[in-house]
Amino acid sequence: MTPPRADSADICLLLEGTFPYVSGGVSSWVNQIIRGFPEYRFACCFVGSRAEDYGEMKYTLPDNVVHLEVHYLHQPGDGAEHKAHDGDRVAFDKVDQFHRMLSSGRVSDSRNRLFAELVDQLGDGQGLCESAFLHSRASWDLITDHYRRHSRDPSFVDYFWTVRTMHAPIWVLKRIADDLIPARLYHTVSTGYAGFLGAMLKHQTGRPLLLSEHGIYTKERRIDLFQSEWITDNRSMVEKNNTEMAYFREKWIRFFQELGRECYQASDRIVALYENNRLRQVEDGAPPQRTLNIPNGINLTAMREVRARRNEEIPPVACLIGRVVPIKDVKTFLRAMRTVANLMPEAQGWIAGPEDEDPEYAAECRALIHSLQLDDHVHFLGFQNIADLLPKVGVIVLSSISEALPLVLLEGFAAGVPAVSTDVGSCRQLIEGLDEEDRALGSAGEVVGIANPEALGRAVAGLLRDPERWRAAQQAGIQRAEAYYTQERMFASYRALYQSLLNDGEAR
Amino acid sequence: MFASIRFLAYAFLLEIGSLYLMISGADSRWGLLAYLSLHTLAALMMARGVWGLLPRHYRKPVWSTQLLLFLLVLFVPLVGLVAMLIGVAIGYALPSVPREEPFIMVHTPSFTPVPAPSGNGFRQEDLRSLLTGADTPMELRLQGMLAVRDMPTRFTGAVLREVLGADADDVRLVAYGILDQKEKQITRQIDRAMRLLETATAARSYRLFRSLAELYWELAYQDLVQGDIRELALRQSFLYVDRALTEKPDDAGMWLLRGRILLTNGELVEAEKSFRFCVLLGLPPSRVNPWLAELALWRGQFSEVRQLMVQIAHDTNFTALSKAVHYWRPV
Repeated sequence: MTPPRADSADICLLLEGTFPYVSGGVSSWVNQIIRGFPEYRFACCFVGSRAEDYGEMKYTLPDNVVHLEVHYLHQPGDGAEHKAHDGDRVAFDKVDQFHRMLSSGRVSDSRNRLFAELVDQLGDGQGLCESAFLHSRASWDLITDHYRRHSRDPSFVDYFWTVRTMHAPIWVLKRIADDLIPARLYHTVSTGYAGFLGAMLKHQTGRPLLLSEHGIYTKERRIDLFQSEWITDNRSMVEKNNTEMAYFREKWIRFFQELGRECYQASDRIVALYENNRLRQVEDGAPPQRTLNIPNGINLTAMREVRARRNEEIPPVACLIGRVVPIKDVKTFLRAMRTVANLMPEAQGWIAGPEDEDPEYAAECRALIHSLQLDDHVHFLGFQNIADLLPKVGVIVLSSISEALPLVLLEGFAAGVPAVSTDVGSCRQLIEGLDEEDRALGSAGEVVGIANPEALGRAVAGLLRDPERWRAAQQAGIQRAEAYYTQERMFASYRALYQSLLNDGEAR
Repeated sequence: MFASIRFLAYAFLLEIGSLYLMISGADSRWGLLAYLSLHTLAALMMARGVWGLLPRHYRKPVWSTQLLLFLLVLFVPLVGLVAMLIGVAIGYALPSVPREEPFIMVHTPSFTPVPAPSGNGFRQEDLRSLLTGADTPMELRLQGMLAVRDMPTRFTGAVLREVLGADADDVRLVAYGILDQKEKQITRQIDRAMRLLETATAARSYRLFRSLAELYWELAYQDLVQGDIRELALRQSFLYVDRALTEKPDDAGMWLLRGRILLTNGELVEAEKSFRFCVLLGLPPSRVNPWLAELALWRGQFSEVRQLMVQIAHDTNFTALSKAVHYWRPV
């Protein structure tokens, strides 16, 4: 299918590694938002790592997506020969000045102005074009000078290539920004590269930028980088300090932090799903007066129909709905099923979600089922239609080590299924309630610590074996979802946001 | 160089021969054919010889340069050769013209150690309160996690699990990552051993039973699994110990492991039997006595403990146990 093309759009969504090529919570949310606003014409700008990392589109594009473009950040270049040249000293002095401001860690108007000035010079043939970065004497001098002044790692070769690799996507993003069709409003769904693209577009076009963050991108990158094994540490035994991070690891983490900060600084409004994430954004450099919370919402009418299809019995089925990937910690769910099966031999554990994203992890999970002797108790169902699945489920289990505001819990509640979840993201708020009034509705299940299979298993079995408590939890879930997490509430908040930003944009 | 001159010499000889043939039997068809074949051979030799004498940067590309030489000598006998030798001579005599490269020479900067920016070097605080204290700054807690990462989970497991319940996502996910990685290392080895077991010979399966027993034990011993899963791991370990012992009943190491599993499960009588058997099989007191002493301690037989520890003292190989042995020495 050829992607739709248009000359202009009302709202341009900046999507990094999500809708329409990847399925999951954020993608479903994007899909929901686009369909919820048929009055606007949307453009989607997808930014991914490499073409081979993505398959076919996972969603049918809604009719009001008038334009879709797809870009990859780590595609190898053209390999053309370039000549060395002197480069624009003045421009690189500004870059130096900008990096001094970065290391001071403070945001200021002068820093924002300097950023805008630098972005203007990134284009081909200008002082900070890609060729100037890669092949000019001025750039070399800046890099070597910074190495001498800052590097705690002795290897210059590694330093040099780290700097090059790290900054390379900036020019790719600049080209995307230059060629993108005009839109009245830019809406990015994460910080990171897409957010940085948004910041560039904002400076270039003067159009408003809206940021909706589900997880916290910078935090997730940071945890990834903290664990990653591809980053080298060339310090010798006598130079090493075990409590000190490898210099390049720190450099990468700071790079993503600053990408995020630029996005926060450029955004007109910054939306978080719940309060803790909003506080985190402020900590990471978001101006507090521009932040607000809009929780996810679900389609109640559809879920009421699903609920009507349940019968009175409580099926002894614990179901994990989600992609089979490490962040969902499927292994803890499987281990918990060992405990559940010990307590309730008739219990079943289902895993409903695609397994193709991380085949190695999926294989490890299958091996674990076997070694836990759970072959008769646990089944992988693959991707399932939630409307057919939920009436057969007794309790929804979420064993994730990180979440934001998971839609599956809300959908489960509205369909009459209580939940047991790990204490991540806003799960406690969803299950136990947020304020006094919300808490009064009761608990819609149970919350346990992460990576604690025993506690998870006991909570699941406890709920399934106590019909009275189960029914109370079911009622609490239904009432909570209907009172606080409806699609209508979410759409109304976004409608107000879109309208005010679009009006502001026209007024400028 | 010499090889090339030899090629040239052969080429000259062949060429003279071919000329002689042409002059002596030019009218016959066979004479012409003989001349042509000798001349071709001479051209081949000549091309190879001359190519070897060319300045290095004239030699590439290898095959097309040699082909050009060969064709010159083949179709322009004598004159072609002379012209080519002159060409080579000129090539030697002229200075090389450097082609313009897209690169310029630069020098790598020298490394001067830069100290880390943190102002607080040493802290008078234990790791547990550093990691679990909610008021410790995030950066410091992450730094603490770096230190914990390289320590055995046998010591850090409890603290790490405590950190799993921390309110800050960063530290808690790092703690999760550390535990998960260590557990995965062992589980992967178990999976590999299981796969090998499917096709293993009898001698090989004994070794696999042994390593499976040890790997399952390691999961529990390194404090990587809890509750039901820990019980399962210990059960599996015991199962493979038994299978290894069926193959080779005098494996003292397996008897020792068997005793330790039983001791963990609180089956003191059976455990003691296993340990005693180890002694019979010839394991030194420094390896068996600590466990026998633990048994005696559980039973409250303190004089027995002292006796066992004294025996260890006679054994030379103890270091980790020194403190315990010292404690129990007779006054």
